[in-house]
Amino acid sequence: MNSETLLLRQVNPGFVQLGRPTSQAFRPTPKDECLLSVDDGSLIQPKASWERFTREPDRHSAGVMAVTFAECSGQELPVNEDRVPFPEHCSIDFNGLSESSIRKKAKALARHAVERDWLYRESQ
Amino acid sequence: MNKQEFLKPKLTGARFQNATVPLELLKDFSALQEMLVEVAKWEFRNSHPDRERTPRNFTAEVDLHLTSVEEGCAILTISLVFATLFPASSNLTYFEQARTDIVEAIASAEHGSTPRLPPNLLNYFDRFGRGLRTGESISFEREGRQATLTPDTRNRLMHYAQVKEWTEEAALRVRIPEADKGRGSFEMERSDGTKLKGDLSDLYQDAILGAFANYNTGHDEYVLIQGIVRKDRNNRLGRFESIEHVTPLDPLDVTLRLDELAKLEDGWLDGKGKAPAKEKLEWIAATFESSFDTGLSLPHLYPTAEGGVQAEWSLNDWEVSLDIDLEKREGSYQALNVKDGTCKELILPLEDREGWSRLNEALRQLEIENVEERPSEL
Repeated sequence: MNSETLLLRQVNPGFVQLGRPTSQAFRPTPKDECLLSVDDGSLIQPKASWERFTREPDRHSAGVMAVTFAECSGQELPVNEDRVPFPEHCSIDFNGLSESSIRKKAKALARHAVERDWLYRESQ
Repeated sequence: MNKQEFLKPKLTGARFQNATVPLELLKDFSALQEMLVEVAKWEFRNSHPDRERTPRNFTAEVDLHLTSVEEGCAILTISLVFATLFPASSNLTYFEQARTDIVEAIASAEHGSTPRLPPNLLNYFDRFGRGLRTGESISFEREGRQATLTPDTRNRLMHYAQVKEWTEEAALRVRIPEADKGRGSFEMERSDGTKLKGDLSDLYQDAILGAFANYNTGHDEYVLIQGIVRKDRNNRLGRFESIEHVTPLDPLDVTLRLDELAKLEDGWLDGKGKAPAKEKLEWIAATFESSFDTGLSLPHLYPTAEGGVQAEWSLNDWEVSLDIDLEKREGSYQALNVKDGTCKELILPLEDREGWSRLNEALRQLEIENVEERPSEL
């Protein structure tokens, strides 16, 4: 993984309105133990990442967006290459941050992802 | 011309603050006058079973006028106006009985008992009371007590009227799957999939055909249809009887989006994710419509994993969110300048005007900043 590696993020359909994702798609929910799941874009393509995600029961994704490793570093967010439960899996680590700080960093990541645009949309 | 105070209905509800009455509600009082005349004739015939008709001049010299609006939400004074120095006293008795009959019919329905008036006369409540919205009422004095007409009471009266259908004022957000200029009709589709018919008129044809052209194109256009719609005893809406306004909706229309969020079910977020409660969404939709500054950009709206709603605005360098806790009726506002990292945060009570004023002001400041920073196009 290098600084320009894309970290692929699945966006729930409820988190999209008129093609715009909410910044919530780029922050962990309270049940995620402060870790935001992403796929290593150097190992899997957006479409394949979406297909694997949506094959799981109860999993829905409107499409795939991405931030880079460098953009996470710019927000002082470590990226853990945990490779669990599958080899491409990574986590953006929000541990130790206040709620306010998590929201700010999520907004900054979302802005980067929106500027990059969708890498894969469900309808494609 | 002489007058005599006849009725003092009290109107309660937000629209009647400061002793004002929307002109559109005067249609209801026009229907009340028609009802009063017909009930008075009915009373006359009851007293004169040998006569088939009421006297020719029975109503000729009598008219109802709105003579004042007093404070107290709004208290109307409705007076009988006579063309002569004195009313024909025998006829006046029937109008007074009719007034009592109508007020007692409302009181009966309020308490769940069958009104004394026959169904054909109760049918006038199709138009009298139709303009009332949820939370509004018209009260009448009756020997120290009150009889109160609300949308619920009116519904009961319409059941006692034994009609299959009656009419309601409606404001529906719909798509247009079908429009036929030749036949002069079109079809509306509500977000729950139910369909209604309406007549196509030159007054709003362009808006309807525009929305029809975009149906199921991926750029669906919704329109707000306001008018009178027929409704059956099972509360199913039928055909629009008349259409007063057709307004193309902003794609970010708040009520429309909150209607979509109301369809979410628990588990919507990959098996997690609490669905927002429908009645709480109705509250925020109504509050938003009444308190959010219409001059500001509309937000995108999203559900939160905790069953709340998050509003978001992207205003040039600013990313703004308002995380709305529907239980506490409180919003956490955060505006982040993604270029320089400046951040503004507020906790806003959304149950009162003050919280919304602060939100409006905070957004206005950011929008002004955007305009000032934008380079001149000249």
